[in-house]
Amino acid sequence: MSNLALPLLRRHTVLALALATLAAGCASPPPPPPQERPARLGGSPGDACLAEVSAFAAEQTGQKVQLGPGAFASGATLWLESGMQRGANGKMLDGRGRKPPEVFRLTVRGSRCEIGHDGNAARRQLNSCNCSPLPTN
Amino acid sequence: MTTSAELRPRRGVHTFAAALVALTVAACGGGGGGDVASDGGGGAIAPSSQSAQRCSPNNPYAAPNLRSGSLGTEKQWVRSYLNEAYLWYSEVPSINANAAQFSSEADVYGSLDNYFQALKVSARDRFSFTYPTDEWNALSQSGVTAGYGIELMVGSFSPPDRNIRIAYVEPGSEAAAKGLRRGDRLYTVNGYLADSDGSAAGLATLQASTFPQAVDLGATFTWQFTRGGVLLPTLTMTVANVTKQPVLVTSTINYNNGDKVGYLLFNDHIATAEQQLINSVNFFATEQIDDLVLDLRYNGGGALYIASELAYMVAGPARTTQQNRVFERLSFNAKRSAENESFGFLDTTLDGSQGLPSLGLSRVYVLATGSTCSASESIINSLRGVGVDVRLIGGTTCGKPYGFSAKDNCGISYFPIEFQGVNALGFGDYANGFVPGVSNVGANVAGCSAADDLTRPLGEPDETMLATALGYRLNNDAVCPVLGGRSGPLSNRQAATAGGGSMLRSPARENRVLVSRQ
Repeated sequence: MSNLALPLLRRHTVLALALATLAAGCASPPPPPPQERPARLGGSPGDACLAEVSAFAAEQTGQKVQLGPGAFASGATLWLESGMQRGANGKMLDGRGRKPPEVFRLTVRGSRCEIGHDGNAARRQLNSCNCSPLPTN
Repeated sequence: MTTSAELRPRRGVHTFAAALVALTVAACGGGGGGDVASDGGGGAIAPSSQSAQRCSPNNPYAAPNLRSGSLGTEKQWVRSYLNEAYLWYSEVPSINANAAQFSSEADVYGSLDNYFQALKVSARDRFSFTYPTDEWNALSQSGVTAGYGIELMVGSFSPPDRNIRIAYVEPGSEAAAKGLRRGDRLYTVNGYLADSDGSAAGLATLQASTFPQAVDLGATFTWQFTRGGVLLPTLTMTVANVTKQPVLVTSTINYNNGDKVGYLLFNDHIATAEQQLINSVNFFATEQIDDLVLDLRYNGGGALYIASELAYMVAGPARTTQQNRVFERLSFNAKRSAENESFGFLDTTLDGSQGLPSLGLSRVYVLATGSTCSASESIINSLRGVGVDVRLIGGTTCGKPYGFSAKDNCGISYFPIEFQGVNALGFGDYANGFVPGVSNVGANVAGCSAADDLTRPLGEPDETMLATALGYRLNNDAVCPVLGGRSGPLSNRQAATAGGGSMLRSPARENRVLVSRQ
C-alpha cells in the first residue's frame, strides 16, 4: 500500500458516506400531512352521523336544530336558518328576515372528518360519519 | 357581461351583516326607555323594563325561575312594549286588558296573543304576530320542510268549491316520484272530499294532511287527485323532510330575430338560493340575454340579503354600488328614529368569498300574485328606486313593506311591525300591494293583469303570465296582449283581483289553513 492509498481510501470513504447520508436524507422526511379538503357525507349518512352533526350545531348555536337527510349530501356547506315560519295564510310571518344563516363546513384530512362552525371557528371530529372529499375543479 | 370591476365588492358584506347584528342587538336590548304614556284608558304606560320577564306561573313557555309574576304583568309588558316599539304606537286602540278573552290562566299564550292582536292597529296592520321563542329560534337546514314536495294553492277557504291545486312540485320529492304535476286538483284525502267536506273530522284531516309540520313526519294519508277532470290513481303519501329548490327554472326564450329573454322562477329567499341565483345569472350572462322575466309569483319573501343580492345581480353595479345607492332603508317610529338604517345592494356573497355576477339590465319583467310578498316586494321596490324599469305582470302583490325584530318576554316572542322599508327614492307606501296596470306612479306599476295558468308548466312560453310578459314586451311595453281571453289590458284597480288564488303552506302555530285569517 502506498502512502497515497490512505488519502484515496479516505476520499472514497467520505464520498460513500456522503452519498449514503444523502440517500438516507432523501428517504427520511416524514410524508407531508394529508391536505385538508372540503368534503361531503358519503353514501347515506346514518342517524348516528346526523345526530353528531346536529348535536355540534346545537351546541354552537344554543338552539334546537332540525336537519334533513340531505345535510352535507352534495356539498361541504350546511346552512341553518331560523325565522322562516309561515302563517296560516301561507305567507312568511316575517318575510324580511335580517338574521344571517348559521354556516357549518365539512372537511376531511386523510380519514379524519371534521365539522366547523363559521360563526366561532369551533371544530370537531365526527366519529360516526364517512366523509368523501369533494372533487377539485 | 360580467367584468372584474363589476365583481369587486364596493360595499362590504360584513358591513351589511354587522349592521344586521347591530340592529338586532339594538332591537333586542331596547325597550327599556319608553316614555310614560297613556294607555288610552287614562292610565299611564310604564316602561316595559318594569314588567319584563315577570311571568305567569301558568306560562309554560317561561323559564321556571321567571315565573314570579302574573298574566297581568305579562299583559302590562305587551302594552308597554307596543308603546315603545310599534310603528303605529300612537294609534294603538284602547283595550280593556281584563276582558275574559285576555285573561285565561288555563291558556296564557292564547290570552296574550289575543291581547296583542287586539292592540294592533287593525286598519293598517295585517302582519304583527307572536310565536313561542324556542320554536322561532330553532334552526332548520336551509330549505328543509316537512311535506311531500308539493306546494298547494286554494281557490276558496270555504266549501263547496275550495279548489285546492298543486302550484308546483319539488324535484326529487315523493310527489314528483309519484307523478303529480302542477295543476292537479285535490279530490279526496282519506276519503273526505277536498272541495266540499264540511265535517269537523273532514276539515281536521284536510288541514293535517295538506299542511303537515315537523311533528307529523312519518304520517301517511291517502290522496286522490284529478287531472283535467279525470281521477288519478289513489296515492299514499308519507310526510317526510323535503329539500326545497328555491330556483326552480332557469331558461331562455329565443326569438328568430336573435333576441333572448331569460326566465327565472325564484320561489324562496333562503340561504341555498344564493349559489343557485349566481349560477342562473352566470347562465344569463353567458347567453347574453336581452331581457329578463323574473317570476316571483309564489315567492313570499324570506332572507332580505338574498333579495339585495338578486336586485344587484339584475341591476348591476352602475346603478347600485357604484353610486352607493340604498337597497332598502328601514324607517322606525319617531321614538326610534335613531335606529333608522340603510342597507346597500350586496355585490358579494354573504360570506364575502365571492363577487356576484350581474346583468346590468335597465328593465325587468316581474311576474307576481298576491303571494308575492315582503322581500320579493323589496326586490321590486329597490329596483324601481335605482331607475330599473320594472314591468309587473299578473296580480297585485301582498303589500308588506314592513319588518320586525323578535322581542322575547317570558318565552314568547312578539313581532309588532317596527319599521317600514323604503327604497333609494324614499318610497315604501305599498301597503295595498304593487298593482299592475297602466299607471306607473307610486304603488301602481306599468304592466298587465294576467292569471296564474295552472294548465301549463312554469317557464313554458305559453303559460299565461309568462306569455303575457313576452307579448307585452313584443308590443314595446305599450299594449297588453289578449291571449284567447286569458289576459288583457286592465286598469290597476281591476288588476287587484287577478293573479290567482292564495298559496298555502304550513300554518304557524295551529292548523287554520282552511280558515283565512286575512
